Amino acid sequence: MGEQQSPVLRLGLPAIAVMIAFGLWSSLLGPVASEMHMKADRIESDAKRLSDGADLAVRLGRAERKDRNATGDLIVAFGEVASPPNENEAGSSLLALINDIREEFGNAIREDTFRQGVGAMIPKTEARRILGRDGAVQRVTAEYQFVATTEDAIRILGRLEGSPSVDLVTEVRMTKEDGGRIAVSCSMERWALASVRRGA
Amino acid sequence: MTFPTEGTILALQPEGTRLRAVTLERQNGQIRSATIRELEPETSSVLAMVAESEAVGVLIMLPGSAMVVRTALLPGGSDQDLLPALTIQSEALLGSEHPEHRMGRGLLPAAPGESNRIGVLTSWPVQMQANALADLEDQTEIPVRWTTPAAGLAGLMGAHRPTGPLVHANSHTGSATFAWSHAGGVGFRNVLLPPGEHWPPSVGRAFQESALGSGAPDSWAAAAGEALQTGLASLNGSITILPHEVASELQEQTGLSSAELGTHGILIGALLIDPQGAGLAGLRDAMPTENPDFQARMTAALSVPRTARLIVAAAALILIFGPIVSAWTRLSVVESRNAELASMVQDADALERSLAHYDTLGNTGFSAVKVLSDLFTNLPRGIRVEGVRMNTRDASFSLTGKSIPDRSAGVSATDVIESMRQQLGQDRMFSRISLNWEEPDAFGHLEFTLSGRIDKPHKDVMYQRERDFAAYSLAARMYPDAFPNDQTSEGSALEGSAAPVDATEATASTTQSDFVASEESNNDDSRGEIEARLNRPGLTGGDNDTASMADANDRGGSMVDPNLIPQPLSLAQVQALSRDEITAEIKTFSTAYNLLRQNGASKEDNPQHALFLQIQASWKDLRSELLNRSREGNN
Repeated sequence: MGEQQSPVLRLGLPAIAVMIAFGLWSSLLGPVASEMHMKADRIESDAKRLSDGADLAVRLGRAERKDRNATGDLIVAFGEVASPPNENEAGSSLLALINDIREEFGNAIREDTFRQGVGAMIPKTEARRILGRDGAVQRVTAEYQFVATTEDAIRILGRLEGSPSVDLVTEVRMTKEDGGRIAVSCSMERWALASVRRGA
Repeated sequence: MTFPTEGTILALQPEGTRLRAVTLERQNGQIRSATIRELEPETSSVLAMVAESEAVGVLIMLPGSAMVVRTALLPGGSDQDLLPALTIQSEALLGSEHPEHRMGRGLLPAAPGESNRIGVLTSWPVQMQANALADLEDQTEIPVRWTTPAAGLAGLMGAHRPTGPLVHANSHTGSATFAWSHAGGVGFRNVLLPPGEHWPPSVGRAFQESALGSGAPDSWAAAAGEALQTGLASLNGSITILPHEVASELQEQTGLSSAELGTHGILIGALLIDPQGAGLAGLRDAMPTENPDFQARMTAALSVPRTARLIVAAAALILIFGPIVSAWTRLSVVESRNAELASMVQDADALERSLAHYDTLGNTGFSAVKVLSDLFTNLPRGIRVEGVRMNTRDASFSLTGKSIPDRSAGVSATDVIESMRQQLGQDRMFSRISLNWEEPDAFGHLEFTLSGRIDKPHKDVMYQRERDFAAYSLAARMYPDAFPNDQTSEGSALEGSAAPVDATEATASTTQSDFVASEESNNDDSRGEIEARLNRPGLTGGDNDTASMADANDRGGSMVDPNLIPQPLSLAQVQALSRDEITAEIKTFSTAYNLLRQNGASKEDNPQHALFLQIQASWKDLRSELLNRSREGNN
């Protein structure tokens, strides 16, 4: 009689064992399967996005052929653009660009000055599109003033605007000087990742 | 598969080159009628007969030479009680070497007043093969059973105890089977004697010996033996000899004649003694095997504890690892189908970010150098620029300078200013233009300030040659004799609002401002650089000004030197170029395009119109390809 187990033990022990086994499975093996499924889902989603994007690109291409002020014109007008670096890198690249120009033109440039600062933030929605994620984009501003011949001045402006280190030339001032030279003041900006969010 | 007791049974007996057949209609295990047939000894003819007669079972009579028969004397009792005892005796009488499916056991019905029961045992030794119809069982769904002549005689005898013997003999094989009643019961014997002329007397003697052995009177045995010898003397084949009382009852029962009973009666007897086909008429060629359906087989397999444990273990493994294996398989398939996806996604993301970057740039500002170029292009001769300011944020600009009159041509300073204002507003690129000027100085020069807004900074204006100082340099306008190849016809040169000023401008002092037009060579180079960067067709002035060369033979239908025009490129050639090469080709084709257009090749009647279209197509292909490369981030 002593060997006869009670129903609680006879049914409860296997039930507990099953629950423990399920717990182990769901904590050890289940996540592995879930992760693989999620990865597969992500790949399928990306593939669909690329496929949709290709269709969109075809449509955009057709549209742009009809619209001269489309992205193609912007690309040609602004030249190569680079993804926003951090503020320090943006400032350094601007300074490096000016140094390159000074080295290239040498004595053809006179009375040049360079100032650098920080401007307003790029709106959040546009910053998110540029970065492809959430983040803040800061304007790093600079102003370069110099005196040069007309030919050199135009070339220097072209170098500045065509460089990936400059996103936008915001203002140009040119004043006639003596001796066939002009004084140029060029304000520009480079978009950079904000190191600290304003208002945060 | 059990043997049916109802319906039509097809009974067969090989007889020489023929096959004796009887279709027996049974009811409650008893024969109601019989029909005799003769068939070819082939399976196909039997199957046809089965189909024709709608037979539900087949019974085949073995030859006497293929059987062993024994009898056992049992005490009185029911079949149910005596059959187990008969089974025990069969091992002693037949031996244990006979397989169960080839043994037949049966009890003769008890005759009136008979206290004992007679058991009949037959055997079909395994070495005796069923040569004929051996494959019938494999080709039909109905049950097939085999029986022996002894079983047939036992059935024919039944509860009768006739005075004469029942005999089934075959002169070809030499076999003879006897059944006779005697004081101790019923005797059965099967003999195999050499066929031939001595076969009938041998059979007669064999029966006589058997009868004497069973205690029959000598006289009866001798008479019966002689009678049998006589009866078999002219036999050619097989025959069943029945006593009168047996034959007459069977005739009534089946409707067969005496002669028909002699040839086919043995088949009927087998079914009479064993209607269920389970005893004397229930022999089988091969051991019966079960053929359970899938469910039964699975159930049987799962009933084995070891198998059940293995299946449970496998199920547990599937439950544990199945989801992982499934997920891994799916992931592997997806990854193999999208092997290059990671880099493509990266490129697509980078492209999207770049496009967003350009969109934001386009919404925020514009290319200052390009707009400066447009601004200076719209300044007529006689304007000397002192200062320029351009803001790309608010899209505003201002210009200060002097307007210099050309008195010899009767053009006043205000006329020059008005010409400038008109040109600026002509292409709708600039708007809200306001002008202020002061009193003229002693030389008549008028200082002015002009301001306005830039409405369409990205607009790619195709300037006419007279407004384009890159295509038609100021020096060429001022000193036509020094630039004979850079001239244009008078009529075509005097176009647009600047025509009066341009046509009458003669003095070097009234050129464009110092940094715009007076340094024409430098200006041409600068404009060439700017326009080349902006990829504007027609403005890529080279060192010698290609537009001027285009004017060598006047405009409006003149031929362009083919050496100045590049070979048109096919789309495949364009796609084969690198990005830098495309950029360089765009410049080349832009120049050629403008050159042709300025020489009237855009008109259909121009002999170079076809070439113009080819150059235009190549230029468009190059530009589209560059755009695509930019999107894809490729070189």
